[in-house]
Amino acid sequence: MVESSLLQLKNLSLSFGGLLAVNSVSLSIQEKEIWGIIGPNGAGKTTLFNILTGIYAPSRGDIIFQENNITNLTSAQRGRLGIVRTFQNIRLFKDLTVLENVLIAYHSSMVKEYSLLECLFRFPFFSFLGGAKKVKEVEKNYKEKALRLLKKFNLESKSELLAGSLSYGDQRRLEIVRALSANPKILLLDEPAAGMNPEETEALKNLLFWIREEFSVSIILIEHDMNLVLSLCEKILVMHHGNELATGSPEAIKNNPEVIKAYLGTGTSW
Amino acid sequence: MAYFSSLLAQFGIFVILATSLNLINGLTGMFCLGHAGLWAIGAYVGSAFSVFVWPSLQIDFPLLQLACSCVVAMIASGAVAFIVGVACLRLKGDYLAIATLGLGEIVKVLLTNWELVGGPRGFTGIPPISSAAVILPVAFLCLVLLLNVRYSSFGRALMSIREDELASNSLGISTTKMKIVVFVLGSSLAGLAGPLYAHEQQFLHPENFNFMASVLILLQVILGGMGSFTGSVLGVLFLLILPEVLKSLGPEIAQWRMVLYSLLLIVLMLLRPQGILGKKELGGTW
Repeated sequence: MVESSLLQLKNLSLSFGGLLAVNSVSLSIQEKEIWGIIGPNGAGKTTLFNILTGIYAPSRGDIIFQENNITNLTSAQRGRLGIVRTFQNIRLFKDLTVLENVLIAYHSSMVKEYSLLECLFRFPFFSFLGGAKKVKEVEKNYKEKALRLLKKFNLESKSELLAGSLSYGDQRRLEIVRALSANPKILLLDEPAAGMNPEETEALKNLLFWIREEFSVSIILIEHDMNLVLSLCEKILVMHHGNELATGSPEAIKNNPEVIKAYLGTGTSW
Repeated sequence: MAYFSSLLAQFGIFVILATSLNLINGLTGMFCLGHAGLWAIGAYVGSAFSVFVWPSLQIDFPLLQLACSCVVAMIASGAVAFIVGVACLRLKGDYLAIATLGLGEIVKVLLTNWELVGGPRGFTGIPPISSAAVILPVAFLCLVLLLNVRYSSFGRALMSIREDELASNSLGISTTKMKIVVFVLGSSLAGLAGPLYAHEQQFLHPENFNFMASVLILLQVILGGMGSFTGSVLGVLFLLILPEVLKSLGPEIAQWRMVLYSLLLIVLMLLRPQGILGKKELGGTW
């Protein structure tokens, strides 16, 4: 490889007892690339995401992010480096408002601007310490930033609603907004189009293209909607029983006989 | 008058205890059942400092004595919480509750068997240097500090741990570290309540800090609303002051007070299962 890649997986494996959930998967993802991971249920796609985000430790193999080995970092450390994900079963902070959900993702940037002490001692009679004004200003700036971002996703008018009260599609989009606020370099989306109708899926596709340009992020998505994957992704990884069945461009994947046999099926024209 | 001032002092003490427990249980969503144990550590360590160490320093300045005693108590409770926290905070829900319940009982048993601080006879001879006049401002300060945490990025991060720890982690928030910090901070505030209480009562007994004391604090938090600090103050008013008020309403009402009190609790739990204020604060945003 001549150019260095953003994220590299080297022979990643994970077994649960005797079950090889992920078997020696290698990948190399460049900046601003959009990858798709497809495969039948139980192929190890979400497990691969869980390894990437530090929820599971791999039994073997290495994860290289921006030329650093991050295999032993915790979830939170990886989040701060810029590997941020959404979840297959939406995991919003349901009892908090939409705005708070976004602000929480700014936490690691916000704590660089004010310390716990400054935030504790903000009373009128301690104002000579400068804490009160500073905290207020930082809070205000980030709130505006969050609202601007929400506006781009048409969620601004719902910013004071509880996240759990949003419609399903809005919740999915809010989860993406929240992930984007955490300042990601690589965005992992676990079935972002699940439960969406064709129009919503089409809108999602355009949104993801826009996100890639606007935030300069690489995107990896797990998805079962083949139309979306084939039209959106530049590279596709097909998994089957934990193995890497094929990797390549949508064209190559679509015509790969092994992929057709394991996942796409015959008799359908894509 | 003495009764009234003692009641106010009690109110202040329990405001500190309930709000600090609310930081741990309500805002961060951990389930700690040993708050009275951490309070006891503060009370005994602070009093021991005041009785055994302070006289040898020969400084006659009661308020400074109380302040030093409080600082020592906070460090002691915080240190114990740190050790316990590092070991136990990987436990979740019921398991953390059992572990902290154990902590409370261990503290009580140790104090009962420690002759230096009176053992089962109780700790006597603590100088009367604390009063409602000191306790209430401290309790108010404590409430303000916690509200400052609540309405900041730190507070939101803590609530995110309560809502969904995994998601919170994935956004770059070091949840384990934050949980330990919160547990230590909340426990040292419980420690702070110790000497304030001890120097007002002038007497400590291990049985004052039994499981029921932890439960009383927890009830105040739940009744006021988990995650609402001003709610905790209302919870204290309700569970500590109301029985006293009922007692003072003449003998006919006084003999029915436990019935009335229980009825009120049942009605409240039926109408407001999320607590008096739920997750909201009195006075809106900070």
